[in-house]
This record gives sequence, C-alpha cells and structure tokens, in this order.
Amino acid sequence: MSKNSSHPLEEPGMSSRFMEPCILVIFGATGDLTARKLVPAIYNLAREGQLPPQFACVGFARRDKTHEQFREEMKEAINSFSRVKPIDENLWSTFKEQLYYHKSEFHEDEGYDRLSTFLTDLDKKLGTKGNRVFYLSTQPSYFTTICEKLHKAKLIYEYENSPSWSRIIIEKPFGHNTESAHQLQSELLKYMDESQIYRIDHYLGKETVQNILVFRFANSLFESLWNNRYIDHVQITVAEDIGIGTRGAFWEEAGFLRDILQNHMMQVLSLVTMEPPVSLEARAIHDEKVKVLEAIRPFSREDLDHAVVRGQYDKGIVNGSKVIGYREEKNVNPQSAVETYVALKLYIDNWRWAGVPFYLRGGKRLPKKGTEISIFFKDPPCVLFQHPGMKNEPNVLTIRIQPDEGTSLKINCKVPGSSNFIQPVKMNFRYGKYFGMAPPEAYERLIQDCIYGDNTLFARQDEVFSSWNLLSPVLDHWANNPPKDFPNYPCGSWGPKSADDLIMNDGRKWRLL
Amino acid sequence: MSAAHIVAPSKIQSELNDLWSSMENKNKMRASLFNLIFYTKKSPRDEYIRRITQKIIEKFPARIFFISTDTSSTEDSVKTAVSIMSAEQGEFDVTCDFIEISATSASEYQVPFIIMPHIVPDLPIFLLWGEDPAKQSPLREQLEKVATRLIFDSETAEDIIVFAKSILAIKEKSKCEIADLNWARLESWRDLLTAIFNDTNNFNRLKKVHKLKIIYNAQETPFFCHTRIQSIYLQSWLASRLGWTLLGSSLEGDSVCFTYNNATKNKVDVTIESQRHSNLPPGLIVSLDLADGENETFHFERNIEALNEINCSYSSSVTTTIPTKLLIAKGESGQSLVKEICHKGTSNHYLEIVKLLSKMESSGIC
Repeated sequence: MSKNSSHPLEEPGMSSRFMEPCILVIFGATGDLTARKLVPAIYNLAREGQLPPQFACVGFARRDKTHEQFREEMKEAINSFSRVKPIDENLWSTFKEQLYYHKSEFHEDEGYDRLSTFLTDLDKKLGTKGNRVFYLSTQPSYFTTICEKLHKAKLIYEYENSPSWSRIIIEKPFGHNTESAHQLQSELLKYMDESQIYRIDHYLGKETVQNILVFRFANSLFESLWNNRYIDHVQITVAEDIGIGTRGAFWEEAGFLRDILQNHMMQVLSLVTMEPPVSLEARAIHDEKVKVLEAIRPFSREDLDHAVVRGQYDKGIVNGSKVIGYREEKNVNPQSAVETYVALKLYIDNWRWAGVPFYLRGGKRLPKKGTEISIFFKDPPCVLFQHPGMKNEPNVLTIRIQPDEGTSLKINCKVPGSSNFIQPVKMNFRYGKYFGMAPPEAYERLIQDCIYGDNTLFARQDEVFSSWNLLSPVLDHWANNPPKDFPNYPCGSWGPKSADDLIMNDGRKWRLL
Repeated sequence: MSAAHIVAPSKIQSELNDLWSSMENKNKMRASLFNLIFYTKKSPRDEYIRRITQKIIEKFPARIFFISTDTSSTEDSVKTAVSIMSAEQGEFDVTCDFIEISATSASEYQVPFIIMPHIVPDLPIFLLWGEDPAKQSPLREQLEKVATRLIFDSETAEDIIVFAKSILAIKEKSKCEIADLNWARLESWRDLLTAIFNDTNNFNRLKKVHKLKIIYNAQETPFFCHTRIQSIYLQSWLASRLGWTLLGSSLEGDSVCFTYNNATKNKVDVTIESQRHSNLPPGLIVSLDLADGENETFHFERNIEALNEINCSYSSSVTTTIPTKLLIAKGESGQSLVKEICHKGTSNHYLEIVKLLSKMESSGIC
C-alpha cells in the first residue's frame, strides 16, 4: 500500500490500524538500550499480538556473534528487563526465530552490502516485502555515516516512488546545539525525506504524556481554566534518584540540559501549553507544538545569570545508602564542570500564557524518582476563609508522568467541626489502580507507531530547532562562564540552594514530590 | 498498631505496600491528611510523644515519621521500621502509615535523606520537635526547610526565657506556622476567660485587677518536670492582653512572683503557687484568683473530680454570686488540642507572650 492511503479492509475512523510486514534493524544491537528497552519492547508487542505476522528483527553491531548467541543474550535481557516476567517459553520458541544478528563496522560499505543481501533473503523467507525500519541506537556521531551507507547500499528507498518503504528512527540527542542540529538535518536530507525520519523521544510514548492532550482537550472543566487568568505558575520536574551509572563518558559530553531538558522536558512543556490542534493528524499537532515553542521568550543576558541555574551532585545519601559525587564517578573528569541538575524559569509570550512563569527543574541523584507537571492555580479573589496569620494553599493540579502514573488535584477543605479551619486535601487518580494493568512501555508504542507510519509521537525537525534555539545560548553562556561552586548539591537533596532562590525570589516554592 | 517491620531505608515504600496488601478486606481504611514528623531523643518521654501521636491520629490520620535519637551511642547507624497505626475507633478502622527512624547522634545527618522520598506530596508537613529549640540542631534546620508548621513543646525548655527567645528567632527566619503544646493546652482557659470578661462591665473590672494568683499542680512525672509553664503562659497572656508592663520577677521557694504596671500605671502583683496532686495531670491549673483594690474578686476553681468543670464566683464588698459551674474542653486529649496544634495559624497572642517572656531576665523561673 502507498504510505498515506488507508487499507481497503480498514474502516475509516475506527481504531484498528493496519500493520504492514517489515524488518526492524537495530544499529548498536549490543548496547544497553537494545537489551533494556528495545528487544523487551518488541517481545511484548509480539506477546500482545501487536507485531505484523511477517516480521523480523536484525541486530547490527561490531562484535562477533552468531544468531544463536544474540538470541540467548536477548532472552536473558527479556527475563531481566521486560515489564512481564518471566519469559513465555512457548512464545519465545517462535519469537526467537524472528531475531537475527548481523556483524559489521558502521563505516564499512561491504557490511551494508551483506546486510542488503541478508534482508532480501529474509524477505523471501518471511514475506516481509522489503519494508524496513532502521533504528539508530548508536552514538550520535555515527548517525550520518550509517544513513550514508544505508543509502549507498540502496537500503533507503525513495519516499514517493517505491513499492516498499523504509524509515529511520533516530535516538536523541538530535545535535548538541542549534548549529549541529541543522547540520545533522541537512546531512540526513541528502539521503532521505523528512517524512522518513522518526526522531524518538521516549517520553512521548508514555501513556501519561499522551494523556496530556486527552486531559486538556477532552475535559472542558480544565481547559477552560488553562490560561493566565486562572493559572499562577507551572512547574515541570524530572527527578531521578539514580546517578549517571556507567555513562560517565557520555555525560561528560552531554550533561543534563542536552540529555533531558532540551528534549523530554521541552516536549512535555509544549504539550502542556500548546493550543488545541485542528485535528489529531500528526501535522496539526506538530504545528501547534512548534507555535508555542517559538513563543517562548528567549533568555536575555540577565536571565542567563538569574533565571537559569545549574548544579552538580556531590556525595550524599540516597535511599539510605551513601553514594559518591559526580566527580568521583567512572570516566568523569575530577574537575568536571558538567551539570547534573538544571532549573530555569521561562515565559511564553502568547495570548494564553502572557505573564505566567514556567519553572522547569530536573536532576540526577535527587531524593526520589518522579516526573510530573504541576499547575498552580491563582488564589480565589476573596479572603473569606483566611484565618489570621494563615494563608490557604493554592489549588494544584498535578499530572504524574512516572512513576505512579496519574493525576491529583489539591483542594482546600473544611476541617470537620464548628470552626472554619481549612486544610488542603488531595483527590487522586492512579492509572494502575483504576485500569488495573501496567501501561505498555513507551518504546512499544513508538516502535509500533513507526511501523504504522504514524509520526505523531516523534519530534519534528522544527520542534527540535526551536528547542535548541532557546537553549543553545544557555550552553554558550555556561561554556564561557565555568561554574565556581560545583559540586553544589549533595546526593539525596532537592538540588542547589540557588534553585530554591530562583523560585523563592518570586514568592513561590518548589512542590515537594 | 501492627508489629514494626524492620526494613532497609530503600525498602520502606515496598514494605508499606506489602503491609497494605495484607490488610485488604479487613475493614481498614488507609488515610492521611498530613505528614507528621516527630522528633525526640530516646528517653522515657519518648512514650509520651507516642501517646500524643495516637491522640492526633484518632482525630486526624496522618503519615507519621517518628524519629528518635539515641545520644548515648557513638555508632553511625540508622534503623528504620514500618508499621500501621490504627485510630481504633468505629467500624471502619482508620489507619495510617507509621515510619520509625532510630538514629544516633552521629547518624542524624542521614535522617532528612531518608524521610524526603516518603513525604506525601501536596499535604502539609508538620514537624513536632520534642526537644528544646534553644539547642542548635542541624537536623531541625533541615526539616524546617520543608515543614509547613513547627510544633514545639515548651515542656522541653531548660529555661523558658531562652526558649521564648529561640521561638522568636525561628519565627523571624522561617515562614512556617508555629505552635506550642503548652499554649494549646491553655486554650480552654483562654476561651473561658474571654467568655467571662466579654461584657464591658466585667472587662473594666479585669482592667483594674491588682492581684492575680494562679495555683497549679506541681506534681512531676517522668514526662513532665517543668510544671509551671502553663501558669506562666496564662499570666503572660493576661498581661500582654491588658497592656501591663513588666517591672520584675522573682522566685520565692516554689512560688514565682511577677510585678507589672497596668495600663494606668498601677502596680499588679502576680503569684504562681504550687500544690501537689498525684491524680491530676502535671502543670494543670487548679485555680485562678483575680482581685482589684476594692475587694472585688473573681475566683475560678477546677473541680478536681471532674477536670472539665470550673466553678466560677464573683464577690465584692456589697455582693457575692453563687458559684457557677462552667464546662471547658478537655484540653489534654480533645479535638481542640489537636486543632490548636494542627490547624490554627500562628497565634499573635502567643507571639506576644513569647515577646514578653523574652524580655525577662533569666532568673530560673522555669
């Protein structure tokens, strides 16, 4: 079928989507992401009957390995990291026959030629019809090389006039600043069409992130309050209790802003603040996201000093255990100036959000893991129930993205009895309790969407550029002004004091997770 | 209360989840209106703080963090345990999470890191500090940063005047609400006197008072040894409300005397005297006498057989009223105590008495 027309057996407007046969090739198949996320996700899709009947997955990496060895390693990975354990042996006996391994260097032409032959053979054997998804789970520096080689080996088809399709999934980060993102984009466009590029941000595959749009636009109750008349400010937090683990070398290159803020947090921000799209078509949603990202006020020179805070963790205590500081981590420069924490305040200069501050913060080695959006509503106009010396708490709507996915609303309530004491209480909706099932992993949804050819939950080029346009000046400023106080927060705390000052200077405080 | 399950700090949440799973279909309702952090040093008083905990959750269920520090140990170790605390009332048993943290002086610094991940978001955080706030404590400073309300117990004060100065200093730098258990215990007396002197005639009589005598129960217990504080608070409250100016204070045996100038520059003598009743709560105010220079006297006396009854009488050179029986709230255990601790904002009246006390010379009055 052509890419845009629906299948004759598909009823328009109904939920079923047609999945075409295909082969998924994972570049960097011996890496952590493949074992922890990608293969368990594919296994779970198979377990739930969500893969095309004619399907294969080929791991592409530099190490010597047989198909059988790769399968055994992946079985172990599924047993360790799948959301459903232990592995279903019956299913595995079928599933493993769909797993293959291809050894090659990323820059080696001959390896791609062999890959092409191998995939053609699999097409004949499995009926996968030449359709391809190439998942680039490698270091960003290999992205263009792999695409160039795939193109040269004729594995990337022309978008318009080919009987089969090929798509590329690219892991973040897409560039490391505005300039490099543009450069990467122009390189990729030499070999493929923009519509073949799927920039993955696994946050967008999370149920709770997808639910933001449903929550906002399927409930008149909240959307009518979703503006500067009723909202005092918004906080977005991405907290991790873990450190950088074995990824010292990567972090020394990336840092928190590039790894988390520029992509995950900006995507979440855009979903929280965008205008309603005219339809649920991918283009309509992307257009609205870009509009709002472009409406973010650029940081002034003064803002760079006062509205953006960076931090780096020092030794401390997390979950009752003593843990080392960032500079003591493996493969980290003992004098490193890389940030493991960022907090910032920004404004969106449009009709809806004028004057509403957005506080974003996130970091490694914080007291607990948690990603959430908190909408703080303005105080009611009267002070009927203000007890002397006591201020009522604002209403807060919190959307918990992970863990304990759900939504809560803090409201004020009268304490039972004859006096008018008021106390905040919480209404809590929990996905797990209500729907009684574990939501699918983000990667399951995203891989499936790519096979469908639906890029709604992937980042479009202009979204990435807008985000870099905002944040590249921050990185430049930091590069020119090395931090003087690093490390500046102990593991297990909520970040540096300067982050508290950032919000407290406005008479507000960070919400405790 | 269920048996405590000793767990590693990293397993607190999962152990609580398991405990709750095991409670399904047992008519237990898990509830939490706020986070309540107790801190005390390991001592017999520890038991008293636990009793307060029980009283509070009977009225208002909360997620409880109970921190006790063993100052005699030099080890750098922390033990954590979880259990479920029950209000033990009604058909549906309202129950709360109880997280116990036993630290040593050397390991106290770890405590905030252990508590922080388990705070229930959005709900207020009350810190009941069961030690003298005059003593520096890095742990308290850390916990104060996240607390919405600080509850102190002046019973822990080694010197009430130093305590008062500390409260003012804390109020100055913290945005938290501040409560004091002894001030809360006085609520019933404050309400009673407000009601009696509500009309203009009686209030004018009160303004002319020259002598004030309070008798309190000086019987100590392992939990209470500063039994005079409630009486000192009560006279300070009257003094501050009536605009009296402190001239001096002195200790005479078991009694304490204060001298003030009232608003019209006339001298007021205040005497706080002790009695010992082993069957009454320590520090309980037994009677209160207010007299002016013209033989007008108000006499309030607690019925020691029924502690929430106060007999009130008035006499002058020309008239004597029949004693009236007034009922007051059971300040020790009632809802009013809990509300005073948990829900009222920082009382300006309380701050004024604290200011008054802070101006006194430290003379061992308590």
